[in-house]
Amino acid sequence: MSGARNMLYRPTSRMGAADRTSAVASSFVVADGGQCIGCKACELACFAVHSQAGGIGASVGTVSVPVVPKVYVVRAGDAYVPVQCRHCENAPCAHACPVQAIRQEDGVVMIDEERCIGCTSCVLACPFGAIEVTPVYRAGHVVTQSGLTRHANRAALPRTAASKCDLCAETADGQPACVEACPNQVLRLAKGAVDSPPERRREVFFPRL
Amino acid sequence: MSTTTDKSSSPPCMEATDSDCTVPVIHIDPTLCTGCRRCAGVCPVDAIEGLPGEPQTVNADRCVFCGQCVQICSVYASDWADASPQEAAIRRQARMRERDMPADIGEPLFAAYYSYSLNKVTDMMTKPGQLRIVQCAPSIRVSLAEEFGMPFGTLTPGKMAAALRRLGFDRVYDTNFGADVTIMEEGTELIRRVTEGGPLPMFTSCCPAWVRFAEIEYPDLLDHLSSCKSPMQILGALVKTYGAQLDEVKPANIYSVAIMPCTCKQFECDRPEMESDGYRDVDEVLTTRELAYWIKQRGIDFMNLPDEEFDSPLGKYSGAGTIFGVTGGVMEAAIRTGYELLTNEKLPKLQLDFVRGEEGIRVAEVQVGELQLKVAVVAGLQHAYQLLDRVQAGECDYHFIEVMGCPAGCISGGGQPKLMLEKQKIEAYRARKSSIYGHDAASQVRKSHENPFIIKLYDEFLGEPLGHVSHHLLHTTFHKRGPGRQSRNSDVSTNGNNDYSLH
Repeated sequence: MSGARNMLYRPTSRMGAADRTSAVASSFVVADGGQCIGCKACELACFAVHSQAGGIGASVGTVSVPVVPKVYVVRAGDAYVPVQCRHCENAPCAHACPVQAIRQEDGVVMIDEERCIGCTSCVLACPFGAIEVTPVYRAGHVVTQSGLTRHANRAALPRTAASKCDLCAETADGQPACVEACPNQVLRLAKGAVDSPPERRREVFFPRL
Repeated sequence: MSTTTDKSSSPPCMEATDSDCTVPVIHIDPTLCTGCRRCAGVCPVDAIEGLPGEPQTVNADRCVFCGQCVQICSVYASDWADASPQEAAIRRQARMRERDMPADIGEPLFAAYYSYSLNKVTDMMTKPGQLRIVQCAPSIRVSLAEEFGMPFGTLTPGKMAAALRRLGFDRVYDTNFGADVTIMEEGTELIRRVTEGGPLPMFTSCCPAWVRFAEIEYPDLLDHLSSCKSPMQILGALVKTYGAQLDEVKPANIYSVAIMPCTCKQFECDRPEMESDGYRDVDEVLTTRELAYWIKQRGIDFMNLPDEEFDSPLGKYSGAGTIFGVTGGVMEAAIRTGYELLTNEKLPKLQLDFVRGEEGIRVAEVQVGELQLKVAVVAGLQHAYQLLDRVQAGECDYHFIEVMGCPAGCISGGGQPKLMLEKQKIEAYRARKSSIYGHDAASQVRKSHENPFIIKLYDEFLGEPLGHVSHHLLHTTFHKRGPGRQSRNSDVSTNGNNDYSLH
C-alpha cells in the first residue's frame, strides 16, 4: 500500500490514481438519499469530532463558534440527502489547487488547511459541491488573516481555508462520525480495496446492487 | 390532623378551571425544523404534530414539557442558509431575541427549544431591598461542569455554590434538603396509606412532567399520587416561612430562584396552588444550561472557583436527598427512612441495588418488618401506560411506585447539557449517575431522618410529618386536565415498550 501511495503522491503530478491498475481505490461515505429524514445529526457529529482539538467538548454549551461541518444535508424537492466528498480517484480539486494543498493518503483526499490560500479553485472544480471555503477557528476564536482588512472599517478579516470530508482520518477510529450518528442508517462507508480492478469497484462499493 | 387520605379536608383531585389554560413551554422554530420527526419519536404523549418533511408543532395541551424533544433535536441554524456572514449574524440575533436568550451566547440554535427565564432573573436580581435565595437540584452538581468542557459526571457542588454567590445570591440553599423533607412527608404518608387502607399503590409526585402526565392521561388515578409537593416547591415554601423567620425578613422581600435539570419545573412553579400565604413558593426556575449561560456571561472562571459550602440550615442534606437525581433514587431514599421508621431497626444495607438500574420498569419486594412491601420504579413516561392501565383495572397490587418522566431520571432532564453526539448520552447518563451515587456514598449522613437539620426543622417549625404546618405548606392538590386516555378516541402510542412483566 505504501508503494502505491508514494506513486500517487508524485510531486510532479497530483492526478490521483492516474495508474489505475495499481491504485489505492478511494473510500468514501455513500448516502441512501431516499431514507434521509433531514435531521442533520451527521452534520452535528461531523462538527463535533472535528472540533475536539479546538477545545469544544461534548455539550453544545461548549460551542462558541459557528457549526461548520464537512457534510451538508441538502433538500431536493421532497427529499433530503447528505452530500460530502467522494474522494475521487482523479481528485479534480487537487488538480485545480495552485498551491498543492490537497493530497491523497491511503485513498483519502485531504486538504492541508495551513497550506490552503482560500482561492476556491477546488470548490469550482468539485463535481459534487462537497467543498466549502470557511473561516478558520482556533480555541473558540476566529483566526484573522494578517494584512487583510475590510476597507470600510479596517477590521481584520478571517483567514479562510477549504474544508471537506476527510473520513474522520485524524479524529476517530472505525466508522466516520456521520455514519455512526445517522439515526436512519442512511450513510455507509464504501471501503476502497487495494488493487481491485476497476470493473469490480461496483461490487466492492455497492454490494447491495 | 389532616392527612392526604382525608378527602373532606384535602381533596387530592380537583377539576381544572378556565384559568389553567396551558402556556407553551416547548417550542419548535418553523423556519428551522426540517420535519425529521425524531422529536416525535421520543415524545411519550404524541404531542409533536406534523407531516414528515414539514415543520412540526407542539400540542401544548398534551405536552408534558419533559424536554426530551429539545435534547434530541439536531437541526440547527446553519450560517450557509444566509447570503452573507453579516446576514447570518442578524438572523441569529433575531432568533435569540425571539427565544429571549442572552444575546452573547455562542452555541448553535436548534429548531426545538424551551422557554428561557434567564433575562427575567437577571433583571430581578438588580432590584434592591430583597434577599436573593437560590436552590440547586441534586443532578445539577454532576452535569454543570460539562458545560465548561469537563468530563461527563464531574462533581462540582462546591464550585456551583461559589458561582451562585458570585452571581449575587445572598443564600445558596439546596433542593436536596427539600428532598430530605419529601422523604419525611412522603414516607409517613406511605406508611399511613398502607396501615389505614389506601388508596394504593401510592405514586411519587416529585416529577412535574409525571404529575402533568397523570392529570392529562389518567385523571381518575390522581388520588393515588402522594399529596407532597416536589422537593423544589417544598424548599421554596420553607425558604419563605422557616427561612424568612431565621433571617428575620419578610417573605415579600425574598426573591427565590431554583436551578433545575427540568424544562417542566417552571410550569410547576407557576401552578396557582404552588404558593403559601399569598407568596409564590419559588419565583423563577433556571435550567442547568441557563445557569451555564449566566456564569459565562459574567465571565466567571467556573473550573477554577474554590469549593464553598451551601448555606445552613436549608442547604445541608443527606445522601438520600442526593440520590433523588437518578431513577430509583426517591424509592431508595424512601425505603432507607421508611424501613427504620416502621420497624425501629437499622436498615441492614444502605445501598439498595434492587431499585438501581436502567430499565424502563423495575420491580422489587422488600421485607419491612412484617410487611412485604411491593415497589416499582418507572423511568420514562412511555413505560407508565401499561402499569397505569393495570392500576385502573384494579390489577396492580404494588404499594409504592416511583415515576420519573425522563429516561434516566433528572440526570437526563430536558434542561441538562445537550450533547452533540447521541451515542454519548448513555456514557453521560452513566457517569452522572455514578457521580451521584458516589456523592451519596461519601456523605456522612445517608438517611433523611438522620439529617440533624431535618430533625431541627421538625422540632422548631414543622412539628411532625403530615402535621398541620406540613399539610398547609408542603402538600398540594392535583387537577384533572382532560377526559383521560381511555376516553380519548385517538390512538396513544406506547412506543413499543410493552413487554415488561409486572409479576
